Amino acid sequence: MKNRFIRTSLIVLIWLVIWQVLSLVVNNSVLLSGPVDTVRALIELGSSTSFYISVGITVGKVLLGFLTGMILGSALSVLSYKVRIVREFLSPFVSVIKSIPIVSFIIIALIWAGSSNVTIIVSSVISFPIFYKNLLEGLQVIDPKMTELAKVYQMKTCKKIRYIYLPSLSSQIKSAVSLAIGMAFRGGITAEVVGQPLRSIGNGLYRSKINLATSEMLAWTLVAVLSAFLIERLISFIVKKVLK
Amino acid sequence: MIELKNVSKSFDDKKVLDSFSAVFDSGEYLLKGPSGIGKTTCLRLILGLIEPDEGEVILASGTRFAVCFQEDRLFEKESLLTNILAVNDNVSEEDAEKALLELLPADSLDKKAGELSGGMKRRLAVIRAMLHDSDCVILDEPFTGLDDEARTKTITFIKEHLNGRLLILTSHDERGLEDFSVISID
Repeated sequence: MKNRFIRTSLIVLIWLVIWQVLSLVVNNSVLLSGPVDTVRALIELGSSTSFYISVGITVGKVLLGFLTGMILGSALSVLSYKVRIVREFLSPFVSVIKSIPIVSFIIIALIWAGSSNVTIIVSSVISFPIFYKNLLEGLQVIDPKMTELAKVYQMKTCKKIRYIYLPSLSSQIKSAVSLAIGMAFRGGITAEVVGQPLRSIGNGLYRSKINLATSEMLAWTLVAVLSAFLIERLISFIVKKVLK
Repeated sequence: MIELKNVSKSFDDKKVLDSFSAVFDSGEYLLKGPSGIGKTTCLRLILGLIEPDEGEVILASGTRFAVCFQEDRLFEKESLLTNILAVNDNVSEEDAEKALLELLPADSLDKKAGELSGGMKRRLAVIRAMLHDSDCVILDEPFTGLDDEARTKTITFIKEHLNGRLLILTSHDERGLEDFSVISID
């Protein structure tokens, strides 16, 4: 465990050194800003309250969109599992959603709901099909012998969920959560860059680009990556505890 | 009372039951017949898990069943106590534990169902069925994997916990079941 941590840290350090050396070779902070400048820019950003408000708002909106997609996707997957016509009706809709480019959704969301809601809509549209497909696939392979047992013994719905459905779906739920939260962050922040809602990570990225402040842009990117990583870890931890 | 009236059932063009009739009044019944003759199909028809192709299954509406399927169908990752309580809302932890100790060794209570031997799993499935609040108990080959001593204890347990309910049981081995009414499928 300790050895693994040391090895990973060393690898990260080597990459940081390569990055710094490359930035020194290029010698143009607009083209390539090094890690030292990026950290400096991050510290500068962190000195203002509006930075934390922006990060908080983006994280909050992405989470809200993720949860909406999760609830909708889960509920509709259960309905599709139970009612064949619903499954057939939703099948082309979900396939289309999965294949439409994110930027098209962003533009539609901007037209329909304005820039302040674009992050929530895009994050939910990204999360929805992931939960829908994963859970439906999981539900379809649940052992029919166990559902027969539940039927004969007239098990209560909560007990059926606890003892039959959740154990069978746990791996699908975990992989859906992990995949959806990462993609929701990426899509949500892309939507912010295009829609530029005030006080958001995406808006920070856009402003850095306009000002050709590459180190600041990399600092915002670092914040986005760290936020997604921490939130993914937190949600995965909660899901693991719930499914235990 | 449960009645099967001229019941036929086929699977993939293979006729498993052909115009079979039987009446299960009250008491204990041993459903007998060679392997593959349709005993399990007959039980599944009674449970309403499959429909007959011809004939009818007559039983009072709202008949509550307790069943030990041919496979154990346990919640493998759960404790023995949870396996009982998950399907038995009216059974207390104390009663469940007492029943478990009648057929299983005390140290097995700390295990998960998936960690039990085949014979112990079978006994757990029987205990779960016998404790269930029901009008009719169905046990499909409940003694599979049990040695003579465990089999005798399980038969005693079944009789003690039947409490006047209708019992339909299938078994290849009739020892200890001589007082059961026999219905043959052939």
